[in-house]
Amino acid sequence: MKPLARIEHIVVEDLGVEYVVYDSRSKMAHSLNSTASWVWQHCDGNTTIEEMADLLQGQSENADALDAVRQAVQQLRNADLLVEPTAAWASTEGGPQLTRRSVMAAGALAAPVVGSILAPTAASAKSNDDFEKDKDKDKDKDKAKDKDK
Amino acid sequence: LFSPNDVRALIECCRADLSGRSEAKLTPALGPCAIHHGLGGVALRSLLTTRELVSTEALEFKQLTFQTVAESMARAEELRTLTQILSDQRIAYIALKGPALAQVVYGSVAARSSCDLDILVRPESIPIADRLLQELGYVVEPEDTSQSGRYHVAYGHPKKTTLELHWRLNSQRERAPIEQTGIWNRTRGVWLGSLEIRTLGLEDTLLHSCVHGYKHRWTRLKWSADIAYLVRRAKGLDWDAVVARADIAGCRRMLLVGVNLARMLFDVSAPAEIVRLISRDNPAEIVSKQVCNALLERRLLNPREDLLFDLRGRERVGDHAILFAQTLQRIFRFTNQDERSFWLARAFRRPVRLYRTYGVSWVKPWLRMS
Repeated sequence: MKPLARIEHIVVEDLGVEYVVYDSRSKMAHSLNSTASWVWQHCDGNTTIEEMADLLQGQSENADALDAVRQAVQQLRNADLLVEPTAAWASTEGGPQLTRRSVMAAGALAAPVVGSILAPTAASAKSNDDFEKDKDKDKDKDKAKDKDK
Repeated sequence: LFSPNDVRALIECCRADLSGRSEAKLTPALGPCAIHHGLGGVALRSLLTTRELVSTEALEFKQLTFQTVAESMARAEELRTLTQILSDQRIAYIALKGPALAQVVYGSVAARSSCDLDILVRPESIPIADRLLQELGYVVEPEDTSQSGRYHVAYGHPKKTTLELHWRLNSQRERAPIEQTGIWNRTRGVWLGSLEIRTLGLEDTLLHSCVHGYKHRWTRLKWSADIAYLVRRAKGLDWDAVVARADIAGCRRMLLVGVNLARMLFDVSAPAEIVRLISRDNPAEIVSKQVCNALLERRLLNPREDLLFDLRGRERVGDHAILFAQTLQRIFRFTNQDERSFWLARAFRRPVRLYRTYGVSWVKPWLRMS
């Protein structure tokens, strides 16, 4: 099986050894730890899970690389970050523009983790001016309470 | 929620991120501190550069900051959509602050968080931009009458972030009309994902960030970090042009304070000429120290200090006079609460209000009765 990373409606932010992937279609953000990021980076539609495991094995001291890659692929699929395995990888130009980095800074392989949240896009946040106004309101309320006392 | 040690740790994170060092340390309340100061993404990036965060404390921090990173990315997506619509309608725009600034200055929209989106359009484009936004489901939020001189309209949306549509960069109260220096001729493109959007030129970004930080008393570290990252990372920043435009707009001292804060807090080196200007400008030095102390002590300025802070930020005598008059006006203006709590004020104001509404005709029935 040759997993392929989805690139449509996907924005990737590189945070050192981890990625945050934002899916504008589902409005979900996914936090990929170092192992999951590495696997996602290698989901190019040409590399099998076993080949990825071999590559990963060479870079870390952990013996369970195959298991880790399988877990990561499963989690990426659950997060809807992979396209169907039958789809062909159109061209390398269309693939995720990611930089290769040393994933295992500590030398040990971390269990892959893909954490997902619905990105809070609602107008929950306020502008700084609003914060200042709210502060003033709070002050006024406090003063009113003091007066009542 | 957090202590001065957490603020220091956050500053260290920014320094480490700026210099590529790996000396950032996680403190117990670094997460809330970084989120408060709008630098959750920078702190996360700084800590993740060299190692995986696996301890319980670290995972909590990661979870907290991941949320703000996700918010920033969603906001950037919204900005992409809006600017695409404006471009399709051939409306010239400039994306201010927020994701555009984060991408220019930090190289990532996730690094720095913002509370809303800000888009500047030419005054004559406001009606059509307003119509487009309302078609997209944005609703104009109630007017803020506390500010003297409006410069934007705020829009809310039930499912999206707040948006401010500007026709000027700053309120007239700031007395720093940077747009008069011709910002529209110097816009630059910045890539947000696969779309290039227009934002301020580098020099104008620096000036605008300094004025904006000063307006908010530099109470969030993100405002001084913006200056630090811009000064350190922007290539080809024309300092002579920055100072010349600051002089035209009357915001040279705000610029000097911003650059001085970047030097003091983040160890950023500025050109010798700028350092010389700072050392000659005593109020700029005083204000910078005041800001540093307030940031570490988490202390808000009292009204007297606030007025002094405002006055010290201006170098022109005319601006001082106007600012002083505006402050007096603010002090003596009756608010709704004043009227509720002070019945005499209502009694005095009522005849004036009646006169304004009905002229002298409202007196006649009284005269007839008497």
